[in-house]
Amino acid sequence: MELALKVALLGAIAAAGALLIKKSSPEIALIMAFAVVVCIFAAAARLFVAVLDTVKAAGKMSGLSAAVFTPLLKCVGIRVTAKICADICRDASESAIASAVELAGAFAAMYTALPLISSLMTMIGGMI
Amino acid sequence: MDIDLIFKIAAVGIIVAVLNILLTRSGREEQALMTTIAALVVVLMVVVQRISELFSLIRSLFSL
Repeated sequence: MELALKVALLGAIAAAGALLIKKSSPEIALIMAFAVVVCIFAAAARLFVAVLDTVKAAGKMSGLSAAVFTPLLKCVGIRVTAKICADICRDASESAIASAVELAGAFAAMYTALPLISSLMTMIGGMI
Repeated sequence: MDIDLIFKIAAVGIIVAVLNILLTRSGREEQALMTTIAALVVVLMVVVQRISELFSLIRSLFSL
């Protein structure tokens, strides 16, 4: 709750500041936006660690092996990274680069999920 | 959260904007451009470290 309030206030103030700077030097406004993203993410990551521990414990209780669970986590990480970078690119009005980054993220996520898909295929093959 | 960093960047942006206007009005467009580029490099040097920290954080968080 406290963190959400802080982040919301920081975001609003930083957005106003960026708008002020954008008129005269848009490149510094973009870098400022990146700095805000880094600060907010670093603050939010601390909470996410606790969530992650709980999810990992739930995965252990369900008896799923780590080989099944790890690609899922990696996909989320790839998605987050690609989303942040693509949004920064889009802010700099470079939507071509943003699309390329998102596409590369999607490919990387699919590549990470390949072991899952192959294990699913062998499972189906065993059933047939 | 290091909010100081954000305010520092905002201050650099405002100072550079003022300098830019002053230099442009006094007919030194080249120096105005050089000031803008120098400020950009300085700010980038600061932020790049933070960005690398962000990526290593994501890397360790999602065990990439």
